[in-house]
Amino acid sequence: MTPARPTTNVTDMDPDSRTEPNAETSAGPPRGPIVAREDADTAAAAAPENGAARAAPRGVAVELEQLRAFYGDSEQLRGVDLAFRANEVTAIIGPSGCGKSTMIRCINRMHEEIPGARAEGRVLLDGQDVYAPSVDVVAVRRAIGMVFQKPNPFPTMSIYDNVAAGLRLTGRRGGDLRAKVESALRSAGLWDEVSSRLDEPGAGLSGGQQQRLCIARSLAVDPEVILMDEPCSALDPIATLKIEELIAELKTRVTIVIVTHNMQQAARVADRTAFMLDGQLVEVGPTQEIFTKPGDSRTEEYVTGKFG
Amino acid sequence: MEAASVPGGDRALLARSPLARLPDRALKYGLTALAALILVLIVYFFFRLVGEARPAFAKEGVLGFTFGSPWNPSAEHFGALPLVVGTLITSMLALIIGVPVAVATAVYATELCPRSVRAPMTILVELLAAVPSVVYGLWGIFFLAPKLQPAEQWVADKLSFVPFIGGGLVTIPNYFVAGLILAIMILPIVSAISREVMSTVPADHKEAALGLGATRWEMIRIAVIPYCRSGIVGGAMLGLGRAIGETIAVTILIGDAPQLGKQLFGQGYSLAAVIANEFGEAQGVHRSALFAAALVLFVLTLFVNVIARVLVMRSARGKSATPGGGVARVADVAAGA
Amino acid sequence: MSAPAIDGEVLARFNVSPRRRRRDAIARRTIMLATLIALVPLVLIIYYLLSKGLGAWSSDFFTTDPTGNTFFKNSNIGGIKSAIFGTIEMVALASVIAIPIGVGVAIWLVEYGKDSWFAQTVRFFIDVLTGVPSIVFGLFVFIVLVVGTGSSFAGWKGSIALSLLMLPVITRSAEVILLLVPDGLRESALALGAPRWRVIFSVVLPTALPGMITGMLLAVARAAGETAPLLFTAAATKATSFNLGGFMNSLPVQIYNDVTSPTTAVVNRAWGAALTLVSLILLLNLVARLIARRSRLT
Repeated sequence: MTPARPTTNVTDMDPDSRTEPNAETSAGPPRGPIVAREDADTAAAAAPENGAARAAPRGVAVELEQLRAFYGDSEQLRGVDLAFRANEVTAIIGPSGCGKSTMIRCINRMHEEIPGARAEGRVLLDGQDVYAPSVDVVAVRRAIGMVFQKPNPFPTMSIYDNVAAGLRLTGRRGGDLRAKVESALRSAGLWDEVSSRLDEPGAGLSGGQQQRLCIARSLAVDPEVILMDEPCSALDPIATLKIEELIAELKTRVTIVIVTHNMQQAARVADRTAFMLDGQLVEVGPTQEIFTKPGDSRTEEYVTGKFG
Repeated sequence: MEAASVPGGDRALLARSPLARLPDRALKYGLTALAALILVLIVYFFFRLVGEARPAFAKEGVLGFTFGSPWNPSAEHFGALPLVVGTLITSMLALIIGVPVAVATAVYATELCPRSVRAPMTILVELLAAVPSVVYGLWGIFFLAPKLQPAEQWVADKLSFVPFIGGGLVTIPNYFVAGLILAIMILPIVSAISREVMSTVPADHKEAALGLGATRWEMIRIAVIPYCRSGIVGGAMLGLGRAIGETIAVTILIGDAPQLGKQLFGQGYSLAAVIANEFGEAQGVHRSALFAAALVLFVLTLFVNVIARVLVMRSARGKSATPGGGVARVADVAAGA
Repeated sequence: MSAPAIDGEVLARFNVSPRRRRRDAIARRTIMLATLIALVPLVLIIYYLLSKGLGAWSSDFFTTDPTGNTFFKNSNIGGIKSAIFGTIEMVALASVIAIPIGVGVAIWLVEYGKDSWFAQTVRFFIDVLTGVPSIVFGLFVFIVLVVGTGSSFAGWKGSIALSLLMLPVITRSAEVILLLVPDGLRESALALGAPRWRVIFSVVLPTALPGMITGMLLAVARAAGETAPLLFTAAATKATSFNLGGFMNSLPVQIYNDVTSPTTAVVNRAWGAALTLVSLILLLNLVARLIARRSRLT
């Protein structure tokens, strides 16, 4: 199965062509986040009263509404509105400290695990607010998976047990379990390399393999969305490449949000890119545009390397 | 670069007079001698103990002594089996009751407890270590044993078909109460070591479990406890070592049955207790037999402690020392860690 | 995978089964319960010590010696004066012996021995000493100092046994603290041209001192509570004595002897003595922790 490589390549861009004919960056002084035209539909949808789930706009998997995050009294995210489209890869870029990791940790409610941390606003998964009081946080985390910066397979478990860990929690056993583990490992592109040594400890793999193991582990529970927090920053270039190829394959099954400090990576893997600065969303749009014709001057400065 | 001529250039710039170096050498050799002295002391210690025990071993044979029965000073027959078994029964009881409770307190303190409660709760558990052994004995014999007697009798009656536990009359000093008090006494040390190990679980692993959609208990079960396994076992073994060697509380609470105790709720004996009770008036072979019992006790605790240390060290290897862990560690050490 | 979901129900697919939820709740409650159970004995012990011990306390209690007239009711059994003094004297002597030696070995381990095979061996043997039951220390001193010299029990011999007990505790805790002193501190002193002994005494020890005092106080508290090492070395005597060369009473031994008495008054005295002993130990613990807080290392 040859992976479909994302062909977006910044240096190839013909500045006059547009891949999406009706995308136009809004003219005039940037005020608040700049959103490409077709997003205007989602922005205009009316917010319902008292947190009831509303009609999920077609094609949007996760939507953030006025998301704010606090560590104690200090405000790290200042009112972010952002939509992530289903079956697409969205990259979040920005200088360190801009809040990108905080933001995705708010999506699967891992942010609140830190003592003293809290979030306000709404995060809608297919229209349902994951912060609603009636929602079980454990269910949220199952629906929205996470791959961390440093590969973290469970050290006391074998490769098989690592992938099976999430499935065992819901009581899957035996042949059914084996089938799912194999399928997850195949989807992560790891099956061929480990099928003969499933009983070996997960921690014995190379860095890149460990990270793919963590991806397989997340995939095994069939989440809707997978969040990736700088998944390749601890890996060598070849391992990074393998994971980027994997991301391109996976997006047909899950929605992917990837935080990265590496702009070339964003350009390679992401359909859309969002730029954040100081806890706020500055601009979001198709990756090509963000890198070639950003609407906001701050985006342009970051993308051309003037800071960050 | 040319060396310029130094005024007063005969003076060797870098040498110190022998006199000035004296304190340094005195300190170094003095302290080295001190350290060596410790080694010599312990080896001497061991040999003297063996020497005093020899007559008894000569009489009964090493295996005959250790595994023979009964312990009968008046008949000059010294079989230590009832003592060894008594020591093991009470210590095992202490482990079975004490370790789960201690590990639970450690889990509570590190994972479940609200932050404001954590420090006071930890201090309370550690206070248990401040109570001296003789006070445990006092409290045990005058409060705990009488209070438990009705319940023990009920269990003995209801389970009379079970060998060792059931049937018979419950006596006030008995194996069970001794074991229970030992469980309380080892709680602080097992809890402290478990807590220390659990606090070093990297947040990474815990987050990986939570990120998969695990409940809090499931996270503890798959990410925390397996990681800490060898450290917890090491802590439990240190507790075991402490329980085996505990003298005074056990002496007060176990009684002095020279035969192998027939029941859990009946009197028994232990290696340390026999020494405490009989040494004062023992003569000749009897005294030598008590030294032999001390030797058996020493070897037993040595064995358990070495294994424990290896386990704790192995689990600590590679984990960086927590800066704030200093007080806790000093306190552990003082509590006999 | 992302087929258009019916609104509001997508999360339901991932909901936690009631079984898992129940298990989580049960597990957490059990753990909390076990923790409370662990604290119950402490509360009960303190309650008993206070309720029975305070009743025995009186000015006479602390100022008269035990009389040994324990067989008849209503006879004057006396107080625990000799026991208190005895404990203080013997533990003080034991500390004077154990602290310099213990700290000395710790300094050697950290500054000179480091990781050499000899140092590892010493550490191993110190660990061995930690695990030795306290009664065995008493026996050792008995063999060497009582039987060996043909002389009788004496307070100082009890102190030796106690110091053997304190030694590994002091050494290990001092070693822990000394290892926490940053190497940078030593290096900057050495770089100024100070000889090693100067570095140790003027830089390392002062920094480590509060932490080491904590360890020492905790060792002292432990020694104060030990009975077994004193049974065959110091013997109990009734009169207050300041002669460490003769028999000497102590709080733990006094309590131990009183525990088995059939006379109620004597047992009450034991409770009073127990309360005194525990108060002393708690006081030492408290001071130790307060000092630790002032340390820059812990």
